[in-house]
Amino acid sequence: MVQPIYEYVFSGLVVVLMVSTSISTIFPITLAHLSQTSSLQLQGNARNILDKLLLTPGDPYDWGTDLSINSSQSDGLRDFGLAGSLTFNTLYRLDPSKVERLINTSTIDNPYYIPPKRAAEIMGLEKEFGFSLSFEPVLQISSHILNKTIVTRVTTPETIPVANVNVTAVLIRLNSANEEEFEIATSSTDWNGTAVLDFSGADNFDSVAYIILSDYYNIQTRTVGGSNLIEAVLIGNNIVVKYPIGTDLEETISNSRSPLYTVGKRTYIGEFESSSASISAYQLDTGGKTFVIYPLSNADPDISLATFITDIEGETKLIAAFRPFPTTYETGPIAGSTRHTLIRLVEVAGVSMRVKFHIWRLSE
Amino acid sequence: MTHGSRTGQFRILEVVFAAVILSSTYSVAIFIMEPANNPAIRTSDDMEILAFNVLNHMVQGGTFDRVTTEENWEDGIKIAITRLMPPGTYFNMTIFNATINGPSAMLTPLNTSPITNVQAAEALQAFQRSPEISSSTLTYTTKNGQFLVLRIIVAAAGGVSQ
Repeated sequence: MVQPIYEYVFSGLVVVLMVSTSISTIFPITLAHLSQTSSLQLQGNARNILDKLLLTPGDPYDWGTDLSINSSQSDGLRDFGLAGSLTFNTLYRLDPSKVERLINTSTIDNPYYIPPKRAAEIMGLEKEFGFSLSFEPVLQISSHILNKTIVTRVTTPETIPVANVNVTAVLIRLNSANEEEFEIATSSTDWNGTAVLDFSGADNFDSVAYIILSDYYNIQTRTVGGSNLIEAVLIGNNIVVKYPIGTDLEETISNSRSPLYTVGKRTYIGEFESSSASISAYQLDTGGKTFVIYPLSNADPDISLATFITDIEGETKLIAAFRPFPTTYETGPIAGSTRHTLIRLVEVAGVSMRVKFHIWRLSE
Repeated sequence: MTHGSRTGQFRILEVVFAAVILSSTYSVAIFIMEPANNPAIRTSDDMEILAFNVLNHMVQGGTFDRVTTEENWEDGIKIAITRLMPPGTYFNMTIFNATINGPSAMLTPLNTSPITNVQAAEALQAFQRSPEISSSTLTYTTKNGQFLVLRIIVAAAGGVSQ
């Protein structure tokens, strides 16, 4: 009677051992395969989403210039994409007016910002994926004013100097008669990536705004700078100015004067309005802040600098609006054990940029 | 030894034998299973898109219109591609001049020096050992009517010895 009991106990133990061995073997394999499948799916999703972002214009196709779509009111935006609208649609050439909607930093107050979570919501990603889109110019320029010259240096993002780069500087300044004037200087970078642009002929260098455009075998980039001016931003074809607190806005708007100079990618300088009539403008109140918007209805979409002058409390001021560079646009910090990264080259307002796209699953 | 005890011993032997077969099957399966997420397969498509992306970027800017008008243009294009490629990427580019002759086209290499960021002595090894390698070809007509075929091979740096 005793022996069969030992048999059953032993057989039972062996069965338990088999089951536990099987589970401990199968479980990690299954997990690894699930993780690999998830990673492959994410890779496919990453490509599709990035292609959608960079190669489709969104809906409406010209939403970048539609100012009724802004940070507080974005219901009109039905689909999200950054490609140029039909008028200048080329592969991987992004619409500057759409890219600017992604910029909102401590230094750039953008009333037309579209929050990344809203973009994720429009693309149907908000519940499943997080993403990060970062832009970096292929070549970078630094510059500073030294006496009546602008010293500029062209490097890679890894700070390796780039020689033989064609550099053009457009300088817009207030002359001694308090009128706007512009000058252009060109040069080429030396072995150290440095070029000096000489404006020694200028009679007054107190209030200046400049843009430097560089070109190396069509890798283009730019930088802007200036001194003693009121800085503004170009959002689409609009100059957005946040005047100093206490400024009499109505009087300032009525004192705003032409000529209004624009500097673009191809036409180095354009006199936008030659009449002396004041520039049409309106106020925009959003998020407790007041902006003055100067629309440029017929400007080239890739202008990078626009200037005009105005009188504030009897003092003539140069207003310079720069087109800001996009940096990082993300739904949150990069996270998740399964994530995927893609890199693409794009052009934004004449600047060659590398776009790094990270995507991850929110559930991991 | 009775008949019943012998039956019990056989049962135990059967179970042990079954357990050995089962566990050895799992052990073998683990070793022979090919990882589904082979990085070379996974990212070669990305490399191809990147290669096309770089060619497309240069074509749109009219870079290759300089090919016949400048001296040492190979060096300029080499540096430009080096700047455009992400760090850790090898490339080798050949530009062909296409001459259409009836139904066929004859491709003649235009670059007299290699357009690559890899030393000639190391090129073969660098491309062979790369875990990810891909290529892209684009045709381009220059402003003066020259018909060019642009071919670029890109590879991720690194890899293991074969």
